[in-house]
Formats: sequence, structure tokens, C-alpha cells
Amino acid sequence: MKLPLLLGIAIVLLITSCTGGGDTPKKDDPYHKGTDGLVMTFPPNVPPSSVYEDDTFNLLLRIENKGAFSVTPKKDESGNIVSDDYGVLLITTNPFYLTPTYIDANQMSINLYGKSPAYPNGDGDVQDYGFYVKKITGERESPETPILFTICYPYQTELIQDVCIDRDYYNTDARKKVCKMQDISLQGQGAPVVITQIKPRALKRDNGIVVEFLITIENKGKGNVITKDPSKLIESQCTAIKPERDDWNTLKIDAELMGRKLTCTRTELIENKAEVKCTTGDIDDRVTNDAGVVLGQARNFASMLYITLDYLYQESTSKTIKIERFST
Amino acid sequence: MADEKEETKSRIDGILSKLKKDQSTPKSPSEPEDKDIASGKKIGQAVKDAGDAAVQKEQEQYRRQVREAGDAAVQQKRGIKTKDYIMPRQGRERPQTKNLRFLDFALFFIIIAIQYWDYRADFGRTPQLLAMFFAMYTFIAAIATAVLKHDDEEYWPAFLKHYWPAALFATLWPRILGFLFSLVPQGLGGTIVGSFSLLDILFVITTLLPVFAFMVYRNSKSFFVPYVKFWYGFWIFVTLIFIVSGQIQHIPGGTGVVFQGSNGVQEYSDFLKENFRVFFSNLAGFPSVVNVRINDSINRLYEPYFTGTVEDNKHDLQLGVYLENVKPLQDTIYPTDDKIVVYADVKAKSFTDEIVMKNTCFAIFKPEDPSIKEYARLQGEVDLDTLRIHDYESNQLVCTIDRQRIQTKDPSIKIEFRSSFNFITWGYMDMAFMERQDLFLRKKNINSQLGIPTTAKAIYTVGPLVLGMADSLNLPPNPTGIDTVNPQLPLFGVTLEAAPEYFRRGQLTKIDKLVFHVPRYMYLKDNSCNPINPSAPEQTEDGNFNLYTFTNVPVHEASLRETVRCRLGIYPRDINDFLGPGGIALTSFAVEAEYEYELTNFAFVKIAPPEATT
Repeated sequence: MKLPLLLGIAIVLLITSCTGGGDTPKKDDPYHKGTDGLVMTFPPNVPPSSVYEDDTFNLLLRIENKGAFSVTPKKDESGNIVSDDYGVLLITTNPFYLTPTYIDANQMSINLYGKSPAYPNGDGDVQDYGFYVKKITGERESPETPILFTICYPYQTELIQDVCIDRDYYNTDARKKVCKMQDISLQGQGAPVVITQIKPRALKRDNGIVVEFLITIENKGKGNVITKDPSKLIESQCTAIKPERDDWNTLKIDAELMGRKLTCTRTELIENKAEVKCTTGDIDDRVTNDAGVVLGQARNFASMLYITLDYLYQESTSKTIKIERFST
Repeated sequence: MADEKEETKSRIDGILSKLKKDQSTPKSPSEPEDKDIASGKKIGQAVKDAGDAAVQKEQEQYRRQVREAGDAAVQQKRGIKTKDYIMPRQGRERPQTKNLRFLDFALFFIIIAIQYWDYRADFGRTPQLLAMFFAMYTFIAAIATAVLKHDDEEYWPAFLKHYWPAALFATLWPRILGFLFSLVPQGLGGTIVGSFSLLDILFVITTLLPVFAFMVYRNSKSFFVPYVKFWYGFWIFVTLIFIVSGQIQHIPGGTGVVFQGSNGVQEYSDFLKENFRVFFSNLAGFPSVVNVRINDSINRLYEPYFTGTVEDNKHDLQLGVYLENVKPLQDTIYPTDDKIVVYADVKAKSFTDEIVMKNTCFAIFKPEDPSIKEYARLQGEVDLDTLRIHDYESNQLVCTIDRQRIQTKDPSIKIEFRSSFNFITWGYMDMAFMERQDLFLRKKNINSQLGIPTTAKAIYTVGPLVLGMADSLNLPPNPTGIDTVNPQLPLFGVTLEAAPEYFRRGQLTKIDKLVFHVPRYMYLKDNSCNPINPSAPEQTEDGNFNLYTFTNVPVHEASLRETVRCRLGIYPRDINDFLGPGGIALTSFAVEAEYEYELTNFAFVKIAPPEATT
């Protein structure tokens, strides 16, 4: 009776020791789902449906991180910040009607954790803003004006996906194959920019093969993508001086297969959609990975494809305020 | 005896000549008398036997035969069947060319479109542009007469039979209506019915004028006749419902003058005469009228016309000035009375500036002296000749006129109130701007993100004038993209024209001032405005807007509207500041129009004849 028990324990340990580790997201975890990033909502009745002229009012804005990526400073093992991630919030009002009077202290440094075991619903914050309603100019009785909130934050889309590599491109090997190369369709990965399809392909070259992945990326959120430049401050990128800004709708992609980084083409979203080709380069019998495994020796095998999309995401929402004339 | 012989001889001659004709016409075999006569053997005997009664019977029978044969020949020649003409709905389509059918459709829908336009315009063009109204429908009737397929032999009699009785009925309607009203007891709704003014009835009549065109139409042989007949009935129904129940209370004098018998006819006659006078004077000056219209149409092609939407006031009391409920103190003025007293209610509301009303009243009548053709105008005294209104005021004006200075044979005279006042109408247009490339690259749902409409919406406040700010031919997109190198901005302008509810009540007399509120980083380009240029700009206290003031804006007498527009500019160096850190600018353009308007309303007062006593 002891032998099967020991074998069972050994198998469990073997399985658990081989999955995940470090910051790498677990495959099929419940948090890397959906297409939300930071989401802005207005609590009901704050402010009321209408406000009076020549008066002030406060407006509450709830910001929640409903995605899987944490918009927080990232530190290495020694505690040094390696990536200072934070979001900024910009407010636009029509000066004909309103003037901001009070701005939340965290307006330019929004830090919110993404969904994780520690924050199963994501982190959230409520910000408070104050406005002065000017006296209505002229004879108008009750104008309406929007208050515009634009949030800009760094975000990542992370994907770990089983893929099949088949070097027997022309089906000359009669042995039974462990997997079959096929197109993979995907939903959300807990971020507004989503990898929706992966089309793997193996091409034989001289002494080995080249594995290609045609990756389809879509912006499924309500906002826009801006290229993230780690050398610049977030706020300077989110409020870049025009017309120098030419970084709309482009993002950085990192892909890795069997420990080797793939070479990807430029990722530019056109009509909120992009197709990127990532290739392994030649894999021949002499090439080994970091663990010393000779890749070229396996002809048909399954492996993990790691993809990370890195970008700034900008999204706007508005709250329409109805102004009532006091002396009607 | 000699007379008897002569008479007998003439009869015989007549019968002989008739018999000669009868030899060429088919005869029935059942006519033995004819055979005997034709033989010529027993002429004297036949005359004697047949006598006068037989001859008359024969002649009558002959005439009937000829008439029946003739009718059949005419119908055969026309190629139509009598049944088709009488019963067009039985699936037998009348012969008609394709082109004529197209014209049928076109004309029919043009008429419906014009009527629908009238309805949407609150029948606003009816009184002031009565001449145009008559002319338009006369023109349509003429087209209908010219293009519709009809038979020359039957069409014109039918046209005369239906068209002119309808016109006559329209003319006599007030008299008939007055008689009917007099029969309705007060307790059974007589008061309600009787409170319609003559002008109201005139409205109904003139609104029914389009049926004249239909009258022409329904007597044609058009495929579309059954549908026209349906529309004909439906439109009368709709007209009666909407005009009588809905529109009357809003028109001047709508609740003032009670229509009563012959006096009402006189009033209607006066009104009609006056309008016909206008009509014929317009007809005389037709080229100039056409010129104005053509110029107006052409101007609207190359000159922008700015539109807007009126702001709904949530309270019952609307902004503006209202002169209504003009009523005489006495329905009838007797020779012994010294004064004629007429009341009018005046209401005014403004959120900002003081309204100064200058009120006058006149008695308008035809002088007793027949050599004087023009109507006399006798000014009366208004107790509140100057009324200053802050915020809101409701008051009553009393007009007193010296009765003894009115010498007329007319049974009624017209009392007219005039109120000249200053008023301010504001127009607003909220817009969003973005850098052109940013706008292009951002997602398509930008409007839902920003919570703004796809085109800028111009709003104006309630008042005598409509103040439009959105270019009707090129509505400004929202957001509007600005090129950072060569920024091109939309035109900034305003069109002023009479508001529908004031359209037939008065006129714009002067535009004192126009003030354009332009966002701080924008400016009006030098000498780019038409027809006049503003003074140097000033800034608002908060520095967020530049104010450009236009003074002495010309008001053209013959023009239906006044438009002032300018080229808007922004310096490339200011674009980033204008758009702000979020890359989106929310801003407003506003126009303040200070002007003077003259409002009129009137009532009729009955003048009792000299022999009448109180």
C-alpha cells in the first residue's frame, strides 16, 4: 500500500514543481481573462443630476483595475525599481461653464494592482474632484456641459499558450505524432489589447526549420494604444506635445519559444487590429536552449509560447452636467 | 279661311321636306304611315288623317333617334366607354402616356409637400405673404390645368362646374358660418364657436385653397384620381382639426373679435380687400419680388445660412414679449360715446437686461369722405406708453381713442396696438476640438467616449428672433480636427430671422449690437467679416473669451433674414495650449444680439349707425 501512495505523492510533486514560477503568469489562471484594464465609473448621484450656477459641486470618480496587470512600480529582488508604472488622469472642462477647483492628490500617480489571488476583483480607488459653476452667460436657462476624464496608464497583455511544433513538415515520418499544428483562437487575456489568434507554421530551411507565428492582435477596449517608451515619464508620453506625437496605435511585442526570443515585425494597429509575424530563426540539430536541450533533435513536440504586449493605454469617459439658472 | 289654307300648306311643305330627309335614314318596318306617305299617293288624305298630333309625335320620335345615334357616334369617336369614366375603380386603367403619369405623380407630391411645409411652418406665411400664397396655388392650378390629361369636350364644362362654385363657396363661407353661429344657443357651445375671429376663418379658407388645384385634378382623366380624392377628403379633415382647434388661439386677435353676422362680413371684406391690394401691388412689382426671391435663393447657395434649435424653457413662462388678448371695453360704440377703450395684455420676461416697451395704439378706418381712398390712422393714448420690465412683468395696456374724431360709414373700425421694445437673443454653440491626426487615429467611438454629438449643435434662447449659428450646408463636425501646421477653422457666423411665433406679429426694426464670444486662443481674421467688420476685440473678465462687437448692423427691408459671418483663425503656436494636456478642447461660441422689434396686434370694434341709441 505504501508504494502507490509514494508514487502518487511523487507524481503530484513532479507536476506542481514543473508549473509556473517567478512573475511568469500561470497558464489558464482565472485572472487573465476579459478585455478590461483600468475602468472609470461614476458613483450614482455624485454629483446630482443638475447643479446651480455660481455654485460649487464635487464629483467622485471610481477607478478600478479589472485587468490582470498591476499598474504599480516593479522592483527587482534587491528592491530597486525597474519599471515605475503609474497612471495619470487628465480632466477637461469647458471654460465657458466650469472651472476645476479641487483636484485629487493622486490624479497624476494612480497605482492599482491587477487581479490576482491577493486582489481577486482587482484594486480600486475613488477620487474626488471639485468644480465651480460659473454664472450662466446670457439668457440661457439650463445648459449642459460634459466633464471629460482621460486616463492614461501603462499596461501589459500576457499570454502563455501551448503550441505544437512539427518539424515533419512534409509528413515523411510514419511515426505517430504527439500533436498537430493548428490555428488557435483566443478570447481576452485580462487587458484591453487582446491576442485573438495564433497561426503557427513550420518552414524547412537548409539544415533545420523555421517556426513562424502569425499573431492577430486587436484593441478590444474603448480606448487607444500609445507606444510606451521606458526612457520617458508616463505623463510626458500621455500629454506629448503635438505634432511630434506619431506613436498612436503602436505597441511593443515580446515573444519567446523554448527559451528563445522570437523576432517580430512592427506592431501597428490599423482600425484597431494588427497582424504580427514572429519567427524563431533557423533551428538546426546543433542548436540547444539554455537548459542544454538539443532542440533540433525533436521532430514533433508541444511547447509553451510566451507573448507579452507592452503599451500605454488611453481612455476617456465623460459626465454630463446640467446647469440650472438660479433666478428663473 | 285663307289663314287656314296657308297654315295647312305650310304644314304640308314641312312634312314633304322632312320626308325627303327620311328617305336617307333607316326606317323601322313597323311604320306603315311612313310608307304610305312615302308613296306620295295619298298626301292630302294623310294630312287630313294624321292631323297635328300625329305630326308632333313623329317629329319627337325622329329627334330622339337622331340624338341617340349622335351620342353613340361621339363616344365611339372618343374611344372610351361610358362605364369606364363613371366607375374608374373597377380595375380598368385609363389610357395615359407614361410622361403624363409621371407628371401626375410629381404634381400630386409637390402639392402635398407644400401643404406639409405649411403645416410645419405653423401656416406662418399665410397672412403676411398672402399674395404669395394666392399666387402659388394659382400657379399650381394652372399647371394642373395645362399638364393633366383631359377631354376638351367635357373637361372645361366640368372645370367650370366645380372650380368656380368652390371658389364662390369659399367667398361666401363667412356669411353662411355667421348665420349658423347665430342659430347656436350660448349654452350649447355658441360662445366657443362664436369666439372665432374672422381672421381665424380666413385662415381656414386660405388653407383650403389648395383644393382648387385638386378640383382641377379630380375632373381630369388621371390614373391617380382615386388617390387624389382620398387626399382631398383627408386634407380637409386634417385642416379643420389642426387649424380650428390648435392654431387659432395663437394668432393675433384669435380670441378678440367675435364673428357676428353682417359686421363680420364687413371685417372679412376689409381684410380681404387689404390683402388683395397687397397682392395686386405685389403683382405690379412682380419683377422686384422675383428678384428678391432669386437673390435670396442664390445667396443661400454661396452665402452660408446658419441654423439653430430653440432652447426649451422648462417653466410655463417663456422668454420674450407677448401682446395678446386685445379686447374692446364695449362690443359696440354708439354715437353718443365719447371714447373707444380697448385693452391688451402684455407679458414680458428676460433673464438679464431691462426691457423698455414703447406702446402706441391707432384707430384705422375708412374716412367718411368718399374722395379719400386711403385709410385714416388716428393715434390714441395708451396709459402705459413706456413700460420698463425687469425680469418678468404681466400688465394690461389701455388704449383710449376720441370717438368724435372718427367719421366713418363703416360698421366697424380696426384698433391696432403697437409695442416697440428692445430685446436680447443669445445663441450658443458648444464644440470640441482635437489635433487632426489624433482625431484620425483615435477609435471611431470618440463621440461616445466624450459624450458629445457628432455635429455641433447651435442653441438660441426664446425671443422674437431665431439666431442660428450652425452652417446649414456644412454642419461643423464634433470634434473638429485642427491641423497644427495650417489650421483651417469653420466659418463663424450668425443668421437672424423672425421666430415662427412672431413671424406674423411684427418686424425687426433695428439691430443695435452683435457681440461674438470667441474662445481665447482663436480670433476673427482681419477684414474677413461680411457685411461689416467688428471693432477691436476685448476680453472677458476671466480672460477665456475674446469679444468682438458689431454695431449698426444693416437691416434690409426686403430681406427675410440677416447674416453676419467671419473667418475664424488660430495661430499654430497656440494650438497645444488651446487643446490642453488631454489633447481635447471643449469650448463654446456665443453670440449676443441686441435689437429692436415692433410687435402688433389688433381688434375690431363695431360702430353703431348714427340713428342707434344705447
